[in-house]
Amino acid sequence: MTWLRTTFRVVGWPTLLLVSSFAFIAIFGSVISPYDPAAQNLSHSMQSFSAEHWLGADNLGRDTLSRLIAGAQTTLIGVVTVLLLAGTIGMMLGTLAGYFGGWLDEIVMRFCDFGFSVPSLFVALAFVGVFGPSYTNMILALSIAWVPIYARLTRGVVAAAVSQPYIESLRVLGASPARIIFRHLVPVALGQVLVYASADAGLLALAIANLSFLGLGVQPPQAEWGQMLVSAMPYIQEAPRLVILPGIALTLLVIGFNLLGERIALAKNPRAMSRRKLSLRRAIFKKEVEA
Amino acid sequence: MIRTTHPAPPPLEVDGFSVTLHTPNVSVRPVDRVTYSVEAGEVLAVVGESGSGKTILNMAPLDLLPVGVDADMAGSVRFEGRDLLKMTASELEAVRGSGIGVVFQDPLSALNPVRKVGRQLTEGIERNLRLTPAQSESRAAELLALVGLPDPKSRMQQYPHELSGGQRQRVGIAMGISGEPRLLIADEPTTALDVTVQAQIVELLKDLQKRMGMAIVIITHDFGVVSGLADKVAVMYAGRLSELGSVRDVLVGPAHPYTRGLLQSVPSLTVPMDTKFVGLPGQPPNLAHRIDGCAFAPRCAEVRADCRGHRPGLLSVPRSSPGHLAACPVVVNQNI
Amino acid sequence: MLRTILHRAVSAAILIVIASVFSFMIIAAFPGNVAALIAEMRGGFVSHEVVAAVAEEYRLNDPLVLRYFHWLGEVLQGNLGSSLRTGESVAAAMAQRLEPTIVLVLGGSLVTLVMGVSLGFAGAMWPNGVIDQIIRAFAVFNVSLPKFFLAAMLIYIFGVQLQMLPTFGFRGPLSWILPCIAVGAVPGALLSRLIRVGLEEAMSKPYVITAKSKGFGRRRILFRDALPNIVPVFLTTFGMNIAFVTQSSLIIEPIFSWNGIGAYFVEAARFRDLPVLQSCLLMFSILFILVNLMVDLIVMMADPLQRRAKRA
Repeated sequence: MTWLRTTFRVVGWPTLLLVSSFAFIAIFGSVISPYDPAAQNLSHSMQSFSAEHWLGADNLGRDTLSRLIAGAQTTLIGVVTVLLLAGTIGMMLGTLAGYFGGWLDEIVMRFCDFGFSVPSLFVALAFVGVFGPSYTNMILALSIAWVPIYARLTRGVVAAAVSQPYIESLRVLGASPARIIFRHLVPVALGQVLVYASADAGLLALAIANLSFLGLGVQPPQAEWGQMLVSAMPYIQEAPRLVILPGIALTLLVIGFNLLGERIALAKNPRAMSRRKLSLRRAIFKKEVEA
Repeated sequence: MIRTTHPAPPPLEVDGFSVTLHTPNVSVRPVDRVTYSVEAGEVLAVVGESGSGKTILNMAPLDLLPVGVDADMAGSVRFEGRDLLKMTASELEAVRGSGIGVVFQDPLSALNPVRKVGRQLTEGIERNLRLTPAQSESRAAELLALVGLPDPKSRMQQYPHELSGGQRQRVGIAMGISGEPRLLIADEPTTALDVTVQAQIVELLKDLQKRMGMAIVIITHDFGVVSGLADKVAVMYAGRLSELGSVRDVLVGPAHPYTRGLLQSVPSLTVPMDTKFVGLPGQPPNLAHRIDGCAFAPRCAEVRADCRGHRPGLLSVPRSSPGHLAACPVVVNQNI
Repeated sequence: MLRTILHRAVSAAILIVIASVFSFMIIAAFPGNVAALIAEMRGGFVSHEVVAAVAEEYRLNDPLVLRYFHWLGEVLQGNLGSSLRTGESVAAAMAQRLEPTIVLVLGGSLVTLVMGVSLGFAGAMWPNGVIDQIIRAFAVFNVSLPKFFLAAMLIYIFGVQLQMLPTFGFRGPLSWILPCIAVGAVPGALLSRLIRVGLEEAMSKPYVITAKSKGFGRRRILFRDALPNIVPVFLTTFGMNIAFVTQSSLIIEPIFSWNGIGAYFVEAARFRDLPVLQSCLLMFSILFILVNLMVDLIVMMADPLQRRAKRA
């Protein structure tokens, strides 16, 4: 259980609580959800906070709490899928480019350059525009838009590792490229990719919401926060909660992801000590001197 | 020695001064109850191995330690009678530059890489001498000429990385004296330089000191600089003074075994070629640990059993000038 | 120096070629029969003859390479094709919709700049003080804030509740305020963090101790010594922010019902208006590549260390 304690210490309990509660909601969503998120009940249309609907109901009488829970599922599944897809493809391309170099490296890096100079939302939007708006297409589009980041990250790590003497000696000893890549290079790159991915999750959640907000991602009746917010915009005057609640849910999730990423990056690269730790140190010294 | 009564208090009086530094894992005391003074027009050399606390001793009272270093100070450091440790931030600001000038050890990092040398020099002159920009520009050129930098006008248009190490050090010295301070603190101004330039810098400082009549504290581990420039020497070991006295007394008749060791470890051109070179054996102590007894005892040739009992204070060295002090009861008592 | 400029320019040119290939592929990579889709969107009865005629018109039967160069030739002459939905010329429609987008990008950048610089400096001025902590928390919150949520809240507070500012359409400077804030606030928070961290790092350098030894106070050192050292970082970040702000136009323009190029792009994606999609992607890509190139060159000019390194 030491890894658990380490995680706890590195990340801190508020962040961990925030992110894990979203994860819990997403995993057990269908169990804890009071209603079917898609079930309409027009007699409850626009109902405010009540015992029946804790967070009210929307214009079609759907339970807001259930839809928020379903939205968490949609978003988190999307984020994880995109990270897995983009991470895997990016690592593959990056490893090949970094290991073999030459023209392959040149081509992969040029495409990465292109991916970096054009913001990911444009690439994703064009992709969805061609293949048609749907949840699956959105995930594919975001994966494609996110590949360059991981390809370049991996390529940097691998290219640096390849020039190390121990890889050279492995090559001389006759290890096959596949063995060197999977046994020695991929594990090195994986650590970096994971650290980066933790910082990237928040951006991805935002991207999913952005596309759905524009009507180019998740399609109704599937619940998603961005899409919930945009369909509530006409009712902002009479029922601002329908706009505010999904907005808050998304903001909280992104804050959680961002804090998580920041903490993990900090743990990898510690900066100056905190003031609390410093005053503790002073107190200890005073005692030492007095003793 | 003739005692003159000064109407004005001396430029620098350090009394029972201690510094404690706190880092995440340890607290160390690199300066421990140090006492000395510098009279007007006097040059004091603070000598010691790296890490003996020389730099912290001089920079901490001026609040010039690197950012993030957390220092507690005790005792008093009086500049012209006013305690630096009790000054507010703005009072201290007023002292720095015009009252006390500083020359830093590493001239490359001490200069701002993205600003022209001239501007970095003139801004201090403008502030401390209350001159107009045009006046301080010509004053800066004079100063650069004074420190022996050829073609000062065009040097001023250059960035620090475009100058050589010796040129940068000269700029650093010009900057330190630009506010016409009454006291100059020079932190190893010659270490980064080759020998010929070192000699020039020593000559330069000597010349400046005579012309401007300022007191100088020079931090060094080079006895060549000490003998060439200083009136008084303070030898530091493990955060304390181990010997204090005039240059004559200390260099000719060193009392403390540490000072003797240091002097012996200086390679010299005047001794016969086949003389055995004697370095100081061992390492200075780790200041993070508590030191009981004489800090030098583990490396000392004259060590006695009672040396490890308690840490000795400074004692007057017999058969020497009255101001000659050493922190070694063994040697001092032997000589009686 | 000249060689580096040339090198960067060639890299940018290669990127523009890649961008053109990508944009071209939008029609080439379309799943299913493009001709049938186009014929369908034009309305009327879709027969085999009509589809064949469309295929002929769009040269869909030619080899891919030939089609690419033909398309490129048209683009270079300023002919971006016509919208499948409305039939109007894409180039003309874009020119017509340029103004709101330019206002949004410039206004948003201004908000970013004002917010980033003022908050970043305030934080660095009083490090670890209450103000710094508040700004820090505000920045973390703001970075995590979805743009459309921020826009919705601005609409709710200033439009619905206070009825102070218009929230609908592009009509005069008053209607610019909310969209520009919605676009600029998030990158502004990011910029303030970067400035704050950059200044803090610069303030921990030895030359700051030198400046202090001359008798200068923190404020003056911050502006005279630390500030020039963060200029390259600042310029790079601000250049990246232009891309970020432009990207926001995709979301903010539809919310405030602005007829800008961002909204045009979104509409095209929604209705599979392939020529519009293609042209928008191409134009935005070229814009970003050129902005990046310019920022690179300006940073190079502004940094004396780099300037000298290249000359040597």
